[in-house]
Amino acid sequence: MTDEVAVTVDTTLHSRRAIFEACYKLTGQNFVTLTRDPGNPNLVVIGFRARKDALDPSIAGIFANELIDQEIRGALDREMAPIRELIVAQAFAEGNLLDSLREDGDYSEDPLGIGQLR
Amino acid sequence: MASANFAEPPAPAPAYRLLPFRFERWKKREVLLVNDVGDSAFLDAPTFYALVGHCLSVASPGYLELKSKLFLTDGDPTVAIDLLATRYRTNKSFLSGFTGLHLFVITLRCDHSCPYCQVSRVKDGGSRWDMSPETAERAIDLMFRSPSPTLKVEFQGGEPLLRFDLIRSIVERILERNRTEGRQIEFVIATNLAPLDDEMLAYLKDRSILLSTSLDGPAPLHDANRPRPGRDSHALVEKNLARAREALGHDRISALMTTTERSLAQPREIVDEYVRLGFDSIFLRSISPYGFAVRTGAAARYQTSHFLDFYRAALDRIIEWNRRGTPIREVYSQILLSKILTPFATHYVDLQSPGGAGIGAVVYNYEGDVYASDEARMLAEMGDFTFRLGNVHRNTYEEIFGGETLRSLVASSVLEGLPGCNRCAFLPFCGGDPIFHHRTQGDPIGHRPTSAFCAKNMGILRHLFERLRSGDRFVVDLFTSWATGVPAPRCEEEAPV
Repeated sequence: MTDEVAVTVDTTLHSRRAIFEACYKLTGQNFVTLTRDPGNPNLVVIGFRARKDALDPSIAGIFANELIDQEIRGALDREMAPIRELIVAQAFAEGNLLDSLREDGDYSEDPLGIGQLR
Repeated sequence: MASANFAEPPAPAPAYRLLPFRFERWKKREVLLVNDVGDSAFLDAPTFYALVGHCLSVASPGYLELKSKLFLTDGDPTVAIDLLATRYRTNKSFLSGFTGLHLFVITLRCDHSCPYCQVSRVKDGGSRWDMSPETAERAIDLMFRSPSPTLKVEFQGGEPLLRFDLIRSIVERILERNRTEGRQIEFVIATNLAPLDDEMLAYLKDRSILLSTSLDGPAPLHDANRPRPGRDSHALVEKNLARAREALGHDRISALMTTTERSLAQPREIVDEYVRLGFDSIFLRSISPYGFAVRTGAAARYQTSHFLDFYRAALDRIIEWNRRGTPIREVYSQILLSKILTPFATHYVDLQSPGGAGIGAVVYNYEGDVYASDEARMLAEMGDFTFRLGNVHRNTYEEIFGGETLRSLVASSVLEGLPGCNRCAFLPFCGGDPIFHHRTQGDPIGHRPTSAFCAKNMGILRHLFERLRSGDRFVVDLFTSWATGVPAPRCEEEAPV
């Protein structure tokens, strides 16, 4: 039975954060090591060794899928971050960050143009 | 032949915007999505990839559901953001009142000698383990500095009824102060019920004081878990439970249990005992790694996976009783289901971000030390004073509640910044419990892949989601009734045997 598995990851395809997040998630069952491939600086070799009992024979596949999930999570984080920050800010703001006219506008100036709809 | 260009894929026109959510892989190529306010949706993998790739068609079956649950928005995003902000504020409403739960540890003395005791009780006798009137007065002063309009005062021990005179004087002093304070105040005594007498009952009734007791299961299990001279703990609970219900009202006394190694094989028997004694709720708690539970080794005798097996079996039995017309709910599931199925905060300090230690609940120990939580004072009884916030005699309110100890404790319980939690789909339902991780892993942030707290909550949450989507209408209605407080669904069968 294999007691150690190594997986090579291309760092031009995967971000550093995704690689570390995927490795971190698997540190519960395994000891995980990361080393650069001496022959190619774009490659990193991830080594897995079981903490106890035997190494999961699917560990390479589990890691590969986790890496892709972490890439998706990273992409979603980047895309959603501005809206996420705005939601939290709006939730705790004294005024209205989305539409200041709702709090500060002068109704007699009809800033929303409601009168024009008649 | 044209070659694929991985570096620069064509950017699809953004017909919709994604709103913040996290995801978790599920079984059978499914994905669970949970947004920042706790709404959830299951998608098959192709739909998920289409969604995150911005190519989900408006005509596809899941589109409108995802839009209505605020996972995406098309057109002007202002309304969706405003709705999410309102929901987020509601979700975090536990922050607005600051510390609402104040625990008074009035004595460490106890007539029981439970090997799993987390508070390192001392044998009955010796007033040096009791809170002095001066300490109680200072604790009351500090409590009334809290801005919370509702204050819950919980008396703990040891066995607090051994110093009923002190309970009485604290209650009277608080009620007197409250004539000018005008807070909404509730009193609870956490007691094993053994010392309860008629005079106490008359006072409890007069002052509308609630009781919370411990019941670990049928007599042989309970008495083995909770030894006392005479080996009659269960008999005393049963006898005094009946007296207390008669004097105070059936719903004025609740119970919780602690799961020991012995309990693991008896999930059905434990639930059945709660039903037999007429309880409509049970709190299935795993053992906590503090106090005698560590010294006697009780905390290390089973793994989280064993507890989860026990929990699932007990929950099955609870559902079975409900199905046959006897309403009983499990409290931990109820808290989680409230988070999953309603927009409201639960005020359960262990399952919130930031955590409630110090800012939701605080402990005044018998000698005057102030701790961020019950677990923090349990740790102190083991010689670790990391989470001592100060002392009622030596420190001001500002030093205790605005000091560095509480600030760093709160900071280390913000899930959005914790490794392993920040990208977890269960984040809106969970907590960080820095004191548990300090105790078990040596630092308050902790290592989630090996955390028993994380494994327990992930296991229970996954199970609840599985049950919710099992297609069993009865279970969905039952869980909804637990979450919302609306009446339980009709029974289906006769009582189980």
